[in-house]
Amino acid sequence: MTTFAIKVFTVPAMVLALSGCAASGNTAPQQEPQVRQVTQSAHCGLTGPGVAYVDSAGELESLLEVRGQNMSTGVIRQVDFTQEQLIFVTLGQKPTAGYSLGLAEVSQEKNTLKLRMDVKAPAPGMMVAQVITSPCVVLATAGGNWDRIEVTGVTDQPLQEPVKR
Amino acid sequence: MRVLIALFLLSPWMVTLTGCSDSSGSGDEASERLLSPLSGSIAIEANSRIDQDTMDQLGREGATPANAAQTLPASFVMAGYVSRGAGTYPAAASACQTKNYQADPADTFSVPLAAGETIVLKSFGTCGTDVALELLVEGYPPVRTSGRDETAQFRLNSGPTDDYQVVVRNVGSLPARYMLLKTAGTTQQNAAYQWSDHRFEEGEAIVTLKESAPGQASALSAQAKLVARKLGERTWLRKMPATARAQAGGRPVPDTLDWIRSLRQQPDVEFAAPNYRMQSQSPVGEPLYSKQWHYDVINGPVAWQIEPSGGSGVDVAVLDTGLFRESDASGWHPDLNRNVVSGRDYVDNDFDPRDPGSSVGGNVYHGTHVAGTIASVIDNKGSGGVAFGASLLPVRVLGEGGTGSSADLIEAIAWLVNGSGGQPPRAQVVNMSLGGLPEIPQLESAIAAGVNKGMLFVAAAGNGGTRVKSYPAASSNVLAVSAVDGARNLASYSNYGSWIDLAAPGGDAGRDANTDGEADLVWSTSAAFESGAYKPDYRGLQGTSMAAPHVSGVLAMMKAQKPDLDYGDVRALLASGELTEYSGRRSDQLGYGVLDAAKAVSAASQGFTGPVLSASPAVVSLSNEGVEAQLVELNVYGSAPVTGVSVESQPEWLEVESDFSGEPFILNVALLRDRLTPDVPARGDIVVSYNLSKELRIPVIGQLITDEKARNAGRHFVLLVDTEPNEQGVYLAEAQVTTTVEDGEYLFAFEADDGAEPRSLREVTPGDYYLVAGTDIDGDGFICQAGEACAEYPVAGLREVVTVRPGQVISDLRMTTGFSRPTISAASPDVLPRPGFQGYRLINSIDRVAATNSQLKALK
Repeated sequence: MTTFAIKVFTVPAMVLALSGCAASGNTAPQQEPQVRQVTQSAHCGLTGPGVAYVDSAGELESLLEVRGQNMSTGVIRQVDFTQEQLIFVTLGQKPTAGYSLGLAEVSQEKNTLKLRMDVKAPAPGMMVAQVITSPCVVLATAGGNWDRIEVTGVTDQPLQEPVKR
Repeated sequence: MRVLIALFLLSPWMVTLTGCSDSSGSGDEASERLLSPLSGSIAIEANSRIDQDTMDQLGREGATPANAAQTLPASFVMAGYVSRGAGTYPAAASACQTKNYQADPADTFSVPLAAGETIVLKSFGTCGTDVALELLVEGYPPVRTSGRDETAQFRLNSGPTDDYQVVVRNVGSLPARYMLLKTAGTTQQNAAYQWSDHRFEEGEAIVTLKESAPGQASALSAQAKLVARKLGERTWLRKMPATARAQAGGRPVPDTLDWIRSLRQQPDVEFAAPNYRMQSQSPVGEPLYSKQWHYDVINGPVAWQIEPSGGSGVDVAVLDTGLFRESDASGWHPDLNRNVVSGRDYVDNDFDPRDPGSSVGGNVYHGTHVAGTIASVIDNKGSGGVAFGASLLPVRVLGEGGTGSSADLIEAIAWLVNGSGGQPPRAQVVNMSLGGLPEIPQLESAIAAGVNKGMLFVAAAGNGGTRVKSYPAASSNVLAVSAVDGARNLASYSNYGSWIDLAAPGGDAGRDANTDGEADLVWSTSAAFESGAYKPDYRGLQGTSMAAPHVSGVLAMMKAQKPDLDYGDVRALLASGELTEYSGRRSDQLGYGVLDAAKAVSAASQGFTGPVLSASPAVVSLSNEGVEAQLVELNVYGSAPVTGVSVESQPEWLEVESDFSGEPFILNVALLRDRLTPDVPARGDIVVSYNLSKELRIPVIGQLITDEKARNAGRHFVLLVDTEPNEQGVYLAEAQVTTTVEDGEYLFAFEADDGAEPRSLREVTPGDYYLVAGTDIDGDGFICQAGEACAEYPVAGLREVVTVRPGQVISDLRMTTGFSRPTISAASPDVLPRPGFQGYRLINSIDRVAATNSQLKALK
């Protein structure tokens, strides 16, 4: 499993302000963002918690070629980047089996796509396989006028990723 | 890391020389390189070859795809380009430049192939898009690339050694870069490496006579020249008479087979067979052994000599997620199937303990991995388990996601214990690579009932990195196993504490403690998603889950030696340091120490005094471009004296000098180049005999690589690139030269900026750069993409800044190009991942004119 830190950005206030300007200047009609879960895995090989936006096959390959990952790559590669883009949300390295994350809620607030994740962890005292895991979920998104992703539920502080679309 | 290259400053007379040279227009290359502000050479990795009509060839005026087949040597790593049609690459952000490509639907090669050899085709597509290719070997149906790696393989199972026509055809809609491989020794090939299934001794046959042929037997006995050895009542090892060899024309292999066919026609012969060479008899001979550092850590090779049956007759229950079974397959994972006996499923409450995988995503088949470490079979494929002869009894107690209930575990253990009466237990050893439970009285009772029947229980200590007790490992009737890395240090995640009994390899992905160039993962059986379904495969994992089965496997071998070995015996042996590499002091990290299979098995072996010889390294690999001579230590195990040590036999291409005067015994093994067929890997065993009937076989691989001058990785672009990528993550080149291969290497030289605009591509201005080189075989304007050669100064993966200063000359820079890419390991700790790295973008000469014209810049 390769150590691989996905960039996690805490957007400074100034950038937020800039983003606000950009959003207010955008006169395109609002679309509801569509987000669907493509797949999830307990062994993504990505050892840090984070979020990554992927809109090209080249970027996708760099995530799928990480050593130790065991995702259903076929369904991920079937995504047509002209129609949808991918969002990888990773939980980071976990000590045992029994961890997973799924999509709980989608919303858009101004220029931010907000994803609330449902993280499952083994209950205290539960019997679990003692293998190191690196859970993640892969989402496909279409539509919506947003240029920032905010993921809650994975870490104490929301994960934020500015996006060029 | 910034490194200022060792330079020599141009002295005034050299400046004068420069002037003279320029003014005279001398074309002397050596002078040019001397005068160049930056020059050097690029060596090429062994066996590198290039397709004769890559896109950068086809892009030349009037060029057309080659019609004739390209001849390839016996071993090669070749890169190529195929495209069904002509067109323009899409204007992707960073994956490729908007350039035209030409049609080249198929490439044809002439490849020498022998039975048992494999050709591998890997497609890399273009512009980040997968493209399927077909591999067609003359006379055989085509094989299409598939799976995550777009890989196709062709293995010549039988048939004559000959030059075969091999065609690579593009069946996709976009062009594709590809690699065609036929090698021994590369990592890729090593994974598929197999000892030949059909190797036999030339001129020998094992002949069994019919019962009604006593006269013939007597005759054979009398014919000393024809008989090598009597093997049984009616079975003989026969030597081929010289007349038969002469009749067959002297070709050794068909000669022997023809003779054996003729023997089978003889009325008195019941059966005749080749004298097959010894196949792998322990995990040491399995193809994956080179990755399984964890077996050396536990002293496995010695243990397998003491207990050569590998725990045969012992049943090991694997309480886990069940076992992988390919859909519609008649058996389990093929590297387990022969050892698997009927089990139970307590999750679904039936008798089918198959691991159903995950309904929502990936699965690593935890139970299959654990079972493989215990008892995957020895079959010259994949890997072998610690107790490769033991039976695996799968009991599914962990459901989807690797979680389960203590109730299922208790019920499963009770089933294995098989009642409180006189019935024997269903398994003698129980592995539990699970944990996280609190202390549960019913679970303790169930385990205690098993211990009373002589069962041995092993559990993973847990991966919390804490002292907190994890059950069932912390149970007083269970061996709690913590995990160590390749240097026998506690793994970063492993639990520890007063309740740890012993340690075993569990791996640590963040370390390469044994500096073998690979992360310390434990390799075993698993399954991988390919072509829409999970297929049997192998994978490296880490965790105390991986450590526990090493102990279970060793206990199975101990039980094979001493069937009445019970938990009390094991604890006594543990406390006296007989099961581990014991320092004399118990520690909370490692308990009584790291498992030592050889000590453990010999302790269980009644009356074992040895001796057993063990080779270190267990497998020797030599080549004229790598290690050409190797010192092999033969360590003695056991208290009995070693007598009569001698080298019984060795491959003829090997020189073996022995020093048996003191322990450890020493073998100096050296390659005899002139006895090897160039570029064809040879394999054989050094056989060391001792104490009359004992022998140690040391597998050896030898290669004579002679292609230095013939190597060609294709036309190279040598770039000086900015040390930081642009906003799109692309490294932009500031200067660029091209070079073609000459006698197996590339020479390059940049020119100093003469100040004239536009600056030529070859001219370099003072500044900080990375020096890189590579091919652009698909003509998409990027070098160093997958399937393209790549060199970085000084070492690929470890770029260092080259500073060009006014008036200074940097010469004789050396780097190496090749198609392989560096891996991240402790041996090369500075190598970092490059997510999204798409190669280096070549300079578009039109861009250069615009970008360097100062007037245009001013206008902008």
